[in-house]
Amino acid sequence: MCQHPHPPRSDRAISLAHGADHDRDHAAWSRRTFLSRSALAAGGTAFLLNGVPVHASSGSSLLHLLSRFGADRVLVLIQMAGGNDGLNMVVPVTNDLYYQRRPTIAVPQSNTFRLDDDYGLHGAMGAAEPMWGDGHLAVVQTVGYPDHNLSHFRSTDIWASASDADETLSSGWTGRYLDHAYPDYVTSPPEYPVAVRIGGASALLVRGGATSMGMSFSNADQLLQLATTGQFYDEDDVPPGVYGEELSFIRSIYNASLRYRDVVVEAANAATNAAEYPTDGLGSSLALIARLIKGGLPSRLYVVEHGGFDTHSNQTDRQPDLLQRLAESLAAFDVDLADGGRSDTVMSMTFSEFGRRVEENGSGGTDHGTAAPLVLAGGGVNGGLYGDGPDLADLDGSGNLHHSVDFRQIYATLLRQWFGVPQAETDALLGGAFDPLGFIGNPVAAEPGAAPHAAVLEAPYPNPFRGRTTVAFALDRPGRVALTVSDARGRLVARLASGPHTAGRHAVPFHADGLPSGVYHLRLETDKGVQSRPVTVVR
Amino acid sequence: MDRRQFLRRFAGEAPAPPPSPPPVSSGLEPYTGPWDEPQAAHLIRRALFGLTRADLVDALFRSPAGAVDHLVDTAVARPLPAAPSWYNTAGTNIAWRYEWQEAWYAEMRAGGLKERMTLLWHDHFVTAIDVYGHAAFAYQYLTKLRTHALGNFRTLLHAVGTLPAMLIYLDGEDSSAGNINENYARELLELFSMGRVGPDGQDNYTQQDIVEAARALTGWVVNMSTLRGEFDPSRHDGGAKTIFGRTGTWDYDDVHDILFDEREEEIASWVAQKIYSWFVHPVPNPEVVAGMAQTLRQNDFEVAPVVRQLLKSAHFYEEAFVGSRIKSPCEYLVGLTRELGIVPPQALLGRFRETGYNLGQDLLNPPTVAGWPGYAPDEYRAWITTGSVPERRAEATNALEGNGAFPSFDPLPLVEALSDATSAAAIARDLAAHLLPAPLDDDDLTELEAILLDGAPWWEWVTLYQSNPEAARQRVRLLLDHLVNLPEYQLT
Repeated sequence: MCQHPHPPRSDRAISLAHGADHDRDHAAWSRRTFLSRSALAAGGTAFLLNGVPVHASSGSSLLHLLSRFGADRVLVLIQMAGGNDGLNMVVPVTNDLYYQRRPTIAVPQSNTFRLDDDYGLHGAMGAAEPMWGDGHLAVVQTVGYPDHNLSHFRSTDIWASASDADETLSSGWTGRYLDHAYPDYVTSPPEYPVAVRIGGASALLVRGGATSMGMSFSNADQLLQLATTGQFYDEDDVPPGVYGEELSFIRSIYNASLRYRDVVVEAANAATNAAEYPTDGLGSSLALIARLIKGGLPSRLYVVEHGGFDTHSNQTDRQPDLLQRLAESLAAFDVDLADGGRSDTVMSMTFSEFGRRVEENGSGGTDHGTAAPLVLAGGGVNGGLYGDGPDLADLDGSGNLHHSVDFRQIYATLLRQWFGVPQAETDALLGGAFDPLGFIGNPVAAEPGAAPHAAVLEAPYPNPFRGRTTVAFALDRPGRVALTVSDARGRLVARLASGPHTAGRHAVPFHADGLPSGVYHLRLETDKGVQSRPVTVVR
Repeated sequence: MDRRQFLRRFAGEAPAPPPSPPPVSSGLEPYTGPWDEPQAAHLIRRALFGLTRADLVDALFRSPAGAVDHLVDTAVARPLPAAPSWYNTAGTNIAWRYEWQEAWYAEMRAGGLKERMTLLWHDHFVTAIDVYGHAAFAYQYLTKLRTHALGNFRTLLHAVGTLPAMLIYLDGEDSSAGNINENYARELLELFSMGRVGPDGQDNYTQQDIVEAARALTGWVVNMSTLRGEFDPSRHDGGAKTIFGRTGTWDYDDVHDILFDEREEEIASWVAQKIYSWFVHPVPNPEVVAGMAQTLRQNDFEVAPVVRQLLKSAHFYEEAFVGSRIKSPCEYLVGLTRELGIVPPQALLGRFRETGYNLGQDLLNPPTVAGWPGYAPDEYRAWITTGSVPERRAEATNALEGNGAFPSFDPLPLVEALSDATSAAAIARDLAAHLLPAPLDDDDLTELEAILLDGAPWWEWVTLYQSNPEAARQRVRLLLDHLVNLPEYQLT
């Protein structure tokens, strides 16, 4: 595995994200546009998606998306919050050290189903055995990262953002992928949520460079309640005065936050579940996601939480139940998606912020650890075991495992082979080059026009800037370009270059004199497509 | 240009706030109107974090002025919370940072007005733990703000500049004779003391004033053995400087004396604006601010008198302002649990910290040196976005349902404490008054009552309540869920 130095990235952007959220809210959802979109929706644009009628208030973005290569690929992330004890999930059944170090909590060989000669999956996960047999399950062992952080929150952020251990990023790896997949998201967001987050999974996962993407719900019920209780509020019928002004503003944002309601509820109602799920949080979340996917919602990313893995004590009373519900949920999801013909285009992946200590503690549990296995599931999986098994004879200073697979190798595999992101872009999204693994059975080719270097819009420098910055782009052959700058509301504020340009690198100045401070969007249009980058003007 | 400089003004474009302060006629003269639940609730909601029945009843037993004095006196007398075990130990351990953030959430709940003022100074004298790292510095910093929360502004301004958190955050430790870093000097003038422009519309200082002040401030460094800021004479620029037209071999103390000698009026006005927008409305009223500035000057920049004056004023109780402030995330989270009568276990404090972060407010870590945009007069709507609204609403529902780290919640004690639990109409009216900043009309109240009754005639409520508490509990929970999900609940 090679790792290039990370490019500099902004390390803190809460306010930026919220500021941009705001821009978008107001750019995309003034009261007037809300009304006109409602009118469109009432008109009823319906069309077929995967054979299922889908109703959306405007079809243009959907159709645009569907024309993209590999655009039917969906990723479902299951966050096993709390730190899943990998050694008791993927059990090293022939390893004496394992049984010596865990005299009371080790899983006996008889309570596993065998993955190979040396490893068995916890018997509580028996529901997943058919998936393993069908090749719908990949298990990657000892996934982690160097200098593993043992804090729940910090390590969750690291997993979600794909940062190094000593680096803080304000966007999620999947959020950045969505930025890449929807370059015009801020200025013209699609009519459906590009991501759906259910429960307490890391919000960072759906945070892109400029804004939070898609929609979040605390549970599946809440999403379905939208249909009945998610009401719109009258923004005009408010008392006079300051209180009324603020109330009107809040109501407008409440209304905007419901903007995906129609497409989501219609998708959920357009399909039914063809499998029986556990009735807990994860089961009901995956059941709902299956309906949304089968119902034709084009969201690319679903993020759900399956919590309770912080088993410092009485682990054998707690973890097997969680694993059982995980396996039963995944198995039902697998059957359900196959029923909808989506088995090969939906991939699920578990992750947990860390594994647990090799040696059991005095409370029948385990303390925070490091590397752990994760599971990928779906018809697109090339089933089997990946990564090296845990070496219990070679632990770090805290008695924790070393990793054999960097978690970003998993991400690189998914970005490149599942979503078809070209390698250079993948490296940029992950802040370095990570070798893919082979767990995807039906990889998509890299995006068309993959000549990814045919036209490149470089990051402006300096950025943010005051007064003047330089924007450079490179062409590998002569062609026409249009390089423009628009503000957060999508208004054109400057045209930096247009017309035929020679091959090679071109640098043009961007003078921001007179422009208010804020985020602007550079947009380079060539016959290879459109690229955009944010740039920040300060005064 | 360094990161903090560019971040300073960066917060995107919030929608244009009302262009001018709301037109109201009253000023700082003492409030003499009615003193009933709506007025007392307004005071408590603005001065503490959310409303509790006990605080409301206590205020109603007093006069308006007496209630304010009680809040201020209680805050002044409140001792500092216990120091964490690591308070004097170097270390950037994330667990310590979290512990200290969570301890603040706990203190907000109990410490009332003192913590509201501490938060004001945090948003004013910004430092960010992401930059200075050490939890012990965060302890010193927050403790300093707390100690002077209702004390003397001059003293506080003088004290924060030599705290390690500030010396690192604004590069004071890197500024030395012949190698000047202007960062702290600029913010000292632009943000911490007087603002760029005075009440007369004139610039308060020149670039040369900043450079000269920066020279005078040199010499302060962080001693990593003692974990204190200390003066190193060898780094100090001992030459003559001219600040605001006065020339001498000025040092750190001199700079502060000169600021107050030469710009007392401007500083008083700037601080008064901050306090005004913290308690009344984000867009300051110039006449009222001028009166507050005068009070600050008359009291040698003691903060408590001007806070008393403002909270006792007819202006503060103007009906136009009631419900006109958007709750910031920590106010929303702490207020939600106080209003529902939920006592947060430790795990919930951790959840506050995370949810606060997700909602845009990572305590001890403001996004820019200008503080949180949601507290700024020109960007105060920034807290409310399509991303934050669902998260705020979901968290309110979680509190009612006992999800996540929330303890299981029984709504009946709340109803019994603040209403006639045998009357559906009374419950609807009283819960609405308890949770929402402004009264609802009769149609709305009827709708609330209908949620409780679920189709049953009103006289059956008492039977349900007395014979089937579990069903009554569920009905009340649904009503509460409706109330905390209303747009009105985002306002205070």
